[in-house]
Amino acid sequence: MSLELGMLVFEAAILAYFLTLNTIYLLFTGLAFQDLLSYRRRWPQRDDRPLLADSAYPPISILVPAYNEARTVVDNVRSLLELGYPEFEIVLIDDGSTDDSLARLRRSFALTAAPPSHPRRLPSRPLRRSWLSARHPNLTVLEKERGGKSDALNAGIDAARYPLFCTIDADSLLEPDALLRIARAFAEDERVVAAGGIIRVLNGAQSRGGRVLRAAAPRRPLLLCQAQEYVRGFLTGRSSLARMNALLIIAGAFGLFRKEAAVAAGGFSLDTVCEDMELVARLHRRARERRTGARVVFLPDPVCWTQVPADWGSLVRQRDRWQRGLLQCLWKHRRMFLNPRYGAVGLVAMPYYALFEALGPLVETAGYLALVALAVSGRLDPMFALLFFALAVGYGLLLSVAALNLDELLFKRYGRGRDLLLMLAGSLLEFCGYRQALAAVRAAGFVTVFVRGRSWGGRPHRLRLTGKEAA
Amino acid sequence: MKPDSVARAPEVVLWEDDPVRRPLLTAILEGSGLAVTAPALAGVALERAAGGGCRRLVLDANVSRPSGTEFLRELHHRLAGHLPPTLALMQPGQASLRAAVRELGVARILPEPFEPDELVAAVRSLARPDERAA
Amino acid sequence: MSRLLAGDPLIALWTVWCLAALAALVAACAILLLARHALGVRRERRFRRRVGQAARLLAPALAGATPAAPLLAAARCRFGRAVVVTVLRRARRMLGGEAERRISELIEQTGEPARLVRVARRGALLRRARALELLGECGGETARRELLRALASREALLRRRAREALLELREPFAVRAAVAAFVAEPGRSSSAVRSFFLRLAAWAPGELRRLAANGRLETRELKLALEALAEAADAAAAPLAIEAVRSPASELRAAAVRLLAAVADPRWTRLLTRRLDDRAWFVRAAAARGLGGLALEPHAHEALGRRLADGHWWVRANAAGSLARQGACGIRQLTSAVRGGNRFARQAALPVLLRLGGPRPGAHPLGGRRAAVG
Repeated sequence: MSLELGMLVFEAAILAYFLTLNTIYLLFTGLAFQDLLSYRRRWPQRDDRPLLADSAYPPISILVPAYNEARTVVDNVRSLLELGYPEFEIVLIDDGSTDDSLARLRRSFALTAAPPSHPRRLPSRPLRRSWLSARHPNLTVLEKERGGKSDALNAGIDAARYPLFCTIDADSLLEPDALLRIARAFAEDERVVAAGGIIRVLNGAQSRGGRVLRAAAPRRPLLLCQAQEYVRGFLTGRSSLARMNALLIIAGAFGLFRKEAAVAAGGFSLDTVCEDMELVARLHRRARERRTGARVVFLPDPVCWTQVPADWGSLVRQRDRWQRGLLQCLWKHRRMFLNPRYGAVGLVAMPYYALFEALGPLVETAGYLALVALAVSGRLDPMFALLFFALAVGYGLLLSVAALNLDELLFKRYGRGRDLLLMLAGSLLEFCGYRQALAAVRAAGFVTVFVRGRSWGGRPHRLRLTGKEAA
Repeated sequence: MKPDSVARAPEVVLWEDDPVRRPLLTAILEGSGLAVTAPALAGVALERAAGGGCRRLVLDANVSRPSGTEFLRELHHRLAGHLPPTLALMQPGQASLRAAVRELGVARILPEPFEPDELVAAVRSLARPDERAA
Repeated sequence: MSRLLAGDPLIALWTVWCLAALAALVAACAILLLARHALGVRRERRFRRRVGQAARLLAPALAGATPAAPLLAAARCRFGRAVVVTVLRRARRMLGGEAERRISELIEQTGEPARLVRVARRGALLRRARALELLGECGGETARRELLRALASREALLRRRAREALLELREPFAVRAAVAAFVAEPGRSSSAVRSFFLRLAAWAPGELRRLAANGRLETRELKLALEALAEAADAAAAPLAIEAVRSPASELRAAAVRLLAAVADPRWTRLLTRRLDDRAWFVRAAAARGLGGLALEPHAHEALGRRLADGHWWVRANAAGSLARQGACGIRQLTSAVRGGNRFARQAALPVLLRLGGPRPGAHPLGGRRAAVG
């Protein structure tokens, strides 16, 4: 009887978890729909340059950390130089590359060596040299000792001359008007200290010379699942959290920060795995503790296209890192957890990330394993199986398709119906192994952290050699 | 059948990507007796502007893909810096864009809104060095 | 589950029903997505094509070459009101004077302003705000009346849109009403002020000058006003800038310097040159940049040359760029800076000279130890 009751409680807990999780996502979708619709009405998709003229846009330093990116770095710097923005500079930080990235950059942009002459306010490994371009006055390349992504970004912030800095990955592409659109948040509201744009999957899209010519859904199932995941994650999750000023994640692949606020907060942390999330959490914490009224916002129309992992190995490493980074950040800022002093960040974002993003994969994996174990032992209750299928798959699928509807209604990124069909297929495929595998990877990440104590499984984020770790 | 004055008039190349503004600008200029070529594609407009027959260029500085400055830079490159006399149409304000097109060799800037007669007068005031000498 | 609820067919039925409803909902969402995409793409392409066709048909009338009434009637009959109004609104944005008035009358004849008035008076707030914005683009008597009425709206967003739309009418009376409403508006945000001033400087710089001169603006707003006038390169605003250059507020001095630089009048060269020694680095940077657009006398050259060794990077870079724009004389100064003993000056001058095809970097190594700058 007690075994029976235990199983019943376990089954009920699994179902309740999925019901709660997906209902929260549904709530997020509703909030996001309302928010994005009003955003679109406020900023219709017409050219707003004559309205907010050049002088209204603050100048921006674009920081591009790169490690062994010889294959793509020149094209990407060229595409950045073509961005439509009144005043910006590019600071490329070569984080001790061992390939010929620097030689290629020197050849392509006529770089001249100059001793670094800016003040050092943030911790980072020593700079070897800085390089100025003879052709482009707004291009600087920093050559430094290897120290990882946070270290490179800190060196870049120190060298940045402008009041805002934008972080982008060396192999990501910004749409030509992305900076104009994201900087609008800072021009409109002085309290904004950080803003994130939307990240879309580049794999499969047609691009030339560092510009995306035509958006298209990728063909390979693994990429398709990630493309669908990005649309849902960015459009529904982030916009609704940002609405409450509780956004904890701004993708390192594309984020804009107020330099003074980031420097005052201590820059990117060198001992964290997910430096972007940690910095945003610190900005929130500082803002609440000092009552500065600072805001972190999400804008759905500045678009950054990025390459996502094309093989399971890279994807598993990426998600494992994200999971460890999330746990590390939650632990580091546990003081905010359910603390009313920190407003929506403490009362909504921290519990949400802890319960559904950190612990969620454990419950999810347990549910899937239980289903398999019960089926194998012949004790699978058809009613439980049916309800589990409805809540875990059916409800999730509904949310994915709703997010696609939202994207199409407001942004119409895909010109061809075939791409939308592929994305719909991606929503379905996501529940056929992809989601379960990633839940298992994240659960393993959780367990690893616990087994090793709070060592977070080793080193902070190093810039990668190949494969993509984007958002 | 164009009247003689139109047939003899120097050719104006107009680069404007907006489907409403292009025919309107063409009608204003043709109405004053100027012969206008207004291609719908940037590549064709570049070829016409870089060709020997182009005696005046009128372009909207706010075009996109390629932008007004990109168009002028490409033309500069093709003509080794010898741009035909060029009139740029611009929204009011836009100080940095105005400075950029000036540096690229635009002879005259006409801010919007303008009266049709102002546009015609501005185009007629553009003169090639050989015409000025004559 | 069924261990607890065993034998309850109602629960089983309910579960199956929920599952079926969920599946139906997913299918409906997917169909909606594909259908909306197919229809939306087709509708958008069709609309764009028809706007182009209508513009070609109406162009001679809008240019004043042929009578408008028959062509307008033909266009409305063939393409519908929405297409025709889109063409007319976009044409009105480009043309001024008599042509603008003629187009506003044509828009009035289509009945579009009356429709927008109905939208502006009820329904969702953002829809009403958008209708006011469009009324500004239509022009004409109906639009003016409604916009003046909206100035007294209880919603701040509607009042802001109405003020900005009145400026788009480009009529002296409407502009004055918008300015008066702006002055009376309590708690103006920076973004609203900036947006209003940029429009005012574009359409009626005289009104903005008057507003800036009457002393009723805060320092923050005065700075935005000077920036907007600089954006419009309004030469008549120079006296305002000359006064602001003496202000103790450094941000105001920088905005004034930017305005004088935008005007690019040689009469203000001496004033700009003096600002090269301002105590605030961003004022020096603005002056160094502004002087680049003027033909300079020897003393101004020398002053710019001295700024190559300024303590702040931005000032050095702007001074080097401005010297490069001065032709042979400026380039001589940059070359001597590269050969001189000051490391900052070498570092600022060399990239500029390299861009101009000057000395090779190897010939004049930059060298020197790392030092903090400003």
